[in-house]
Amino acid sequence: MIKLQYMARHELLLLLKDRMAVVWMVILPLAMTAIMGLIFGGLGGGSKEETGLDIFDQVVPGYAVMFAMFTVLSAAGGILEEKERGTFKRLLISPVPRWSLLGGKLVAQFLMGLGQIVLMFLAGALVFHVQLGDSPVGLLLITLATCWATTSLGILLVSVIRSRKQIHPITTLIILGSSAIGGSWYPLFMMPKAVQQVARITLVAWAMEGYNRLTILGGGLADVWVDIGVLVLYGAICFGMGLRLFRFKEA
Amino acid sequence: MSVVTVEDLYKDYGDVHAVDGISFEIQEGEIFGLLGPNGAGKTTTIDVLCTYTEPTSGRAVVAGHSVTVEPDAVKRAIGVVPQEIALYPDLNAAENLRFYGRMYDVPRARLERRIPELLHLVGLVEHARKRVEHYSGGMKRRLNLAVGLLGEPRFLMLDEPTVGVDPQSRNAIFENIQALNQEGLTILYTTHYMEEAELLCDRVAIMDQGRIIALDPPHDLIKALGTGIIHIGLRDPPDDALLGRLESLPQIKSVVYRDDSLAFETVDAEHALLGIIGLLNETSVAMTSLEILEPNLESVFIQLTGKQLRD
Repeated sequence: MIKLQYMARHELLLLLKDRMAVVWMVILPLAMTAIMGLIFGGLGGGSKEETGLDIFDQVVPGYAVMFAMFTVLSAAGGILEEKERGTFKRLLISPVPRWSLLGGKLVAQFLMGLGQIVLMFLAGALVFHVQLGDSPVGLLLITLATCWATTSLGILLVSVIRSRKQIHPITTLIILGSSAIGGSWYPLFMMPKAVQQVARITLVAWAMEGYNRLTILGGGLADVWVDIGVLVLYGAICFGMGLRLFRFKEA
Repeated sequence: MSVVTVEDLYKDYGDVHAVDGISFEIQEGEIFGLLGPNGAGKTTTIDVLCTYTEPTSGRAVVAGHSVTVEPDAVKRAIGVVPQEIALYPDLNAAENLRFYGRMYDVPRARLERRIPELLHLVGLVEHARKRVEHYSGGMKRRLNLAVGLLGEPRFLMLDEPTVGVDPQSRNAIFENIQALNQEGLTILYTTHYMEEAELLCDRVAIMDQGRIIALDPPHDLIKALGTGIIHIGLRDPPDDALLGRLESLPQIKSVVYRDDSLAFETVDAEHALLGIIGLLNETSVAMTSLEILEPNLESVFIQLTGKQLRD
């Protein structure tokens, strides 16, 4: 257990040491949020005072989920990088239990995703004056469920793809595709019915439905328990498959 | 007392026999060399000994523990310096050592003493706070070695630890290895550089295609070869009568014809050469090339396998 903690702390240290991390996790998401909000803020017709709605109420959770996926899945891709570099093998021949090795990495990825979403909502509340709704517990649970599902998707992708060269283009495609149809860029409930149906296969759709219900529509925990449940289940399936398919050693 | 015992070890990857039935022992305090070209099975042998790979069959005991039955006990007794630079480029030397030290269960207080010691040993004290990505190849190799020593192993395996290293770092690594050995550390050293094996190793096992084809102290291997190898390229293959006459010349221990050339093993290359040239002239055999190989492990290898050690 202590080694799992060390492993997780090591992963977070590596993130801090990565000079590009601040660009990817802080500057880019906030800049994009601001730009999208400013560009599309004037297009929806009435102002916030009239409708009670603001473009940032959609953009902030949308980009929070999208960038959490980028953060978590690129950290997951780091496992393949470690395999290529030989550090993964070095850890396998050190007296570290395998589950501590992988578990530490997964815990760190989960925390990175969590940090990303919290950062976006903090900035959203302080800078963009986003409404956070009336259910902090609901918000917390949907966030935890989203991070769990994303982390699990990461281990599944790493287990299936196995090639460092392929992982980044494929995850980028998955993130952008699911963000586009899942409601990260545009509210799900305003999309055509058919798109809404297809979008159900993405974790983004469930996360965004939950966030929209809690923030824009002012719902409570009772309104989002299905979304939370689906995300937990989604995560469990990906996690189970991922662990089953994960290879510690390359044959 | 032997620190490593390997008996009839086989490791197959599909149809490939990476290790094809090898046996050897490494004695306490010895520097044991595994010498061979790329693909000879050196790394696979290390992979088995460090518990990374399970053998297909056979037995390997390291520091009194079977690699298959008690892999954890083996892991705690050994240090491994892999062929790859298995370090985190974004971290500095001290951070790399600290992380791996924790993975090797080095208690915190001891680790904080051990890190400067190791940095001193490999000559990286001044660079301790510099990111590894900015290190030269030689500095990375030295840190790679230091990481292998964190767990205070009684047996250290080094897999080609000098590949891509400047001469200065190479000498530093040699000195480190010799000093560690003086303190009693048993070492397995793989390389495809002859000079390294000759310089460092008490005994050398020459590996080719998964097998050990010779195992002795370097000096004995070279002595067994005689004092010289002569290669003479021929335009046309010699007949058996000529081969017989060549073999019966004085100073010559053996002669074989392969790859369009005659390979002589001689007692004394210079004296043998005169006789050989004389006979070839007399029989009007056309020569295309002539080469005298220094008596060293390289010529031992060529003589044993008929091929060059380096690519």
